[in-house]
Amino acid sequence: MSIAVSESSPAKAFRSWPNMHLWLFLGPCIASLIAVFLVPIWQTLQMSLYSDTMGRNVAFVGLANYARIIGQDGFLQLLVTSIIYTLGNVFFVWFFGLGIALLLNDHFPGRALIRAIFIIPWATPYVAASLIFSLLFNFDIGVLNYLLSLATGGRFVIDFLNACPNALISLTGISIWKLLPLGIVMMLSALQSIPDSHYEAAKVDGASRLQTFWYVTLPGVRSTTVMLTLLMMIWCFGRSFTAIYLLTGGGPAGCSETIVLRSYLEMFQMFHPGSAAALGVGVLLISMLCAGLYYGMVNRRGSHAE
Amino acid sequence: MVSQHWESHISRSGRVRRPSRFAAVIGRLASATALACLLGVSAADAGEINYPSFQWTEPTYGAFMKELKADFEKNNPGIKVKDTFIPYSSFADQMFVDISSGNAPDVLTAFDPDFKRYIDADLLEPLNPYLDAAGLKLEDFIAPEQLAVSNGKIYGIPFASNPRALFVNTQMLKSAGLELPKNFEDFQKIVKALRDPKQQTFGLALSAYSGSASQQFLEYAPIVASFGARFFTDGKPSADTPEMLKALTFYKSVVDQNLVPKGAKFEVFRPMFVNGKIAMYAAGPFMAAVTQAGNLETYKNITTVPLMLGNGKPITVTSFLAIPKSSQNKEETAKFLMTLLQEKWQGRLVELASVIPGRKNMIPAAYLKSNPWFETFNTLASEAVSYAPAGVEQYGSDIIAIIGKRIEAMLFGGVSAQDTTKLIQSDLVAFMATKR
Repeated sequence: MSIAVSESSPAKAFRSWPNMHLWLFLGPCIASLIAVFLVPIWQTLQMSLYSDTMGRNVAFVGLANYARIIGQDGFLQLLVTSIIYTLGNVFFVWFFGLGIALLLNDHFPGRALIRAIFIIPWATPYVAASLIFSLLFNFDIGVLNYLLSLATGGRFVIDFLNACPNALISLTGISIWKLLPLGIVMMLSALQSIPDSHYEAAKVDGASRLQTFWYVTLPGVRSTTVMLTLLMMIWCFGRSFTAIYLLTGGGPAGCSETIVLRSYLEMFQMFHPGSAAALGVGVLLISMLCAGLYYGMVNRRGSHAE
Repeated sequence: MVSQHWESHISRSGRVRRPSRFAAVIGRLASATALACLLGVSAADAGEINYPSFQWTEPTYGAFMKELKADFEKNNPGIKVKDTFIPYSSFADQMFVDISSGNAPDVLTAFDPDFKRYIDADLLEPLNPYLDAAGLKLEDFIAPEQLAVSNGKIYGIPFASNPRALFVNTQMLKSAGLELPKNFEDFQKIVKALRDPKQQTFGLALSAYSGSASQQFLEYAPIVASFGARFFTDGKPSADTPEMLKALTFYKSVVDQNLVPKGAKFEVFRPMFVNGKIAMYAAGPFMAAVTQAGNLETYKNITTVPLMLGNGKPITVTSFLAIPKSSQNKEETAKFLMTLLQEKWQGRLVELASVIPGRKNMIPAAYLKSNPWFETFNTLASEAVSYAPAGVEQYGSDIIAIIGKRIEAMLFGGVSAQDTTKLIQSDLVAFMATKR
C-alpha cells in the first residue's frame, strides 16, 4: 500500500518533471525579474500609447506621442548628440584604456598601487564626481580656467560648460574619465591573455615595436575590443544622464541634451508622461539592438572557443 | 525516504494533497502578517497628516513648520503631522509621481506654474467648506490668490509669497563712491563699476549658465518684468515688444561683457552675495534670512529697493498648499491648514521665515519696525503679479522650457536679442496653437 501511494506521490511528479527543482530555485528570481523589469517595461509601453495628461483623465492616442516626438524640430539634434556622446565614450575609453593597459602591463615597481589608483574614478559616485567637475569647469571661479589664465597671463580662458560644442566635449570627457577603469581592466586582461610565444616569434622575425603592436597585440585584443565596444554602447546610450543633468541640464540651448535626459525632462519638468515614455521606449529599442549584437558576439566567441 | 516524507500528504485517490498542518501554519502566518500590516498601516495612517516638503530642514521655514506641528499636535491629541523631508531638487518630481499614482500625500505644496495644472487635472479637493467654516473668504488672501480658483471653487491657500526686490550691499556701493540706484542708468553704472576681475567682485548676480530652465527663469524673470516686458499678457504671447527687446539686450550685454558671474548657479552666486562679492541681487525676502545666517556683516549692510529698470510690475513667487483628492485624512489636514491661517501663525511665519504670509495684513508691526528692509516687500506684495505666464499658468513649465532654450541660445550661441524676441514669440505662438 505504502509503495502504491509512493508511486502516485510527488516523487512521481518529480520524476515526470525532473527539472522541477530548477524552477523552485529559479522561480523567486524569475518572479523578481518580471516584477522589476518586465512590468515597468510593459507599463512604459502602455504609457507611451496614452495622452500626455496628468492624473486620471488619460486617453488612448496610439502612436501619436511617437509621431510628435519624431516630428519635433530638435529631435534630430537630440539623436545626433546622443550618438556623438556614445561614440565619443566608446572610442576614447577603448583608446585610453588600451594605452594605459599597455603601460600597466609592463613590470615596474609600484605597479599594483598604480593599477589601484586607476580604479578610483570607477569607485567615485557619479554625483560627487559631477560636482567636483562643475567646480573644475566653472568659467569664472573654476580651477581649470584659473590655471589657464595663470599660464597665459589671462589672455586665454575656455567656457567649458556654457558654449557649444564645449559642453558636450566636457561632459563626454567626464564620462570617459568615469568609465576608463573598465576599459583599462578589460584591455589589461586581454593583453595578459596573449601568449608570450607570439611576441617571441615576432621578435625572431625581426618585427619592430609598431609591427608587433599591429600584428600581435591588436589582433590579440580584438574580441575584447568588440565586447567592450558593445557594452559601452549599451551603457552610454542608455545612461547618458547624471553628469549632463547636473552640469548643463542639456544646455546651452539643447547642445548637450540626450534622449535619456529629454525623457526625464518631459516627465518631471513638463509633466508629459506619454512623450517621456515614448522616448524611453526609443532608448530601450536602441539599447536592445546593441544588446542583441553583444549577445550574438558572445555566442560566436563561445562557439569559436569550443 | 522521499516517499515516506511525502506519504502523509497524499490523498487516497493518489492526488497530491495540500499538507494540512503546514498549510495551516503558513496560512495563519500569512493572515497574521497581513492583519499586522493592515493594522500597522491603519495605525500609522489614521490621524496622521502626511506633509512632505523640502522646507522641513530649512532654518527659516523649517523652524516655523516644526513649531506649528508641535503646537497643532499638542492641541489636537490623536492627530500627528508626519514631517517627510524631500530634497528640493526632486520635490516636484516626487509630488507628481505620488499624486499621479494615487499615493498622494495629505498636504501638497506647489508653486505658481505647477499649481494650476493640478487643478485642471482634477486632482485637488475644494477647500470652500473648510474656509467657510473658518470664516475666511478669497478676498482675505494675497495675490495671486486667483491661481487657486476654478469655477468658483478654491483649491488651495497661498502659503508664502516672495515678491522680488533688489537687495543691495550698501557697503560695496559706498566703497566705490556710488549711490543707491534710482533708475536703469544708475543700475547699469553700478553693474559696470563694481566688476573687478582681479578681486572677482561683481555689481550684479544674474543667471548666466546652462541648466534647469525653471531655476533660471526664477532668476531672470524679475529683471525682465521690471523693464515692463511680459512673455504672456492675458493668455497671449507678448514676447516681441520693445520692452522685451530692451530687457534682453541688457541681459545679453552683461553676460557678454562678463559683468555677472558666468557659469555660476544660484548655489554659487547666492553665497557670493552673502560674502560681499556681489553688490546687487534681485530676490525674495528669504534672501535676508539667508544673508543673516551666512554673514552678519553683510546683513548689516544690506538694504532693499524695488527694481526700477522700467515701468513693469514686480513679480512674486508663491507657494500654495492644497489637499489632494486622494488624501486619506482630509478633515485632519483641513484642520491643520486652517490652524496655519490663524493670525498667530501667520505672524509667526513672517517672524521666522521672513516671507509674506498667505493672508492679507498679517505682518506684525513689531517685525516691520525691527526689520526695515522688509517694508519694500510689504509694499511690493500688494501690487506684485505671479511669475507664471499670465493667463496660461497651467502650461507654465512648457512655456518656461521654450523660453529657456532661446535665452540660452542668445547668451551662449551668438543669437541677437532682437532675433531672440522674435524667436520666442514665434515659438510661443506655435505652442499655443497646439493647445486650441
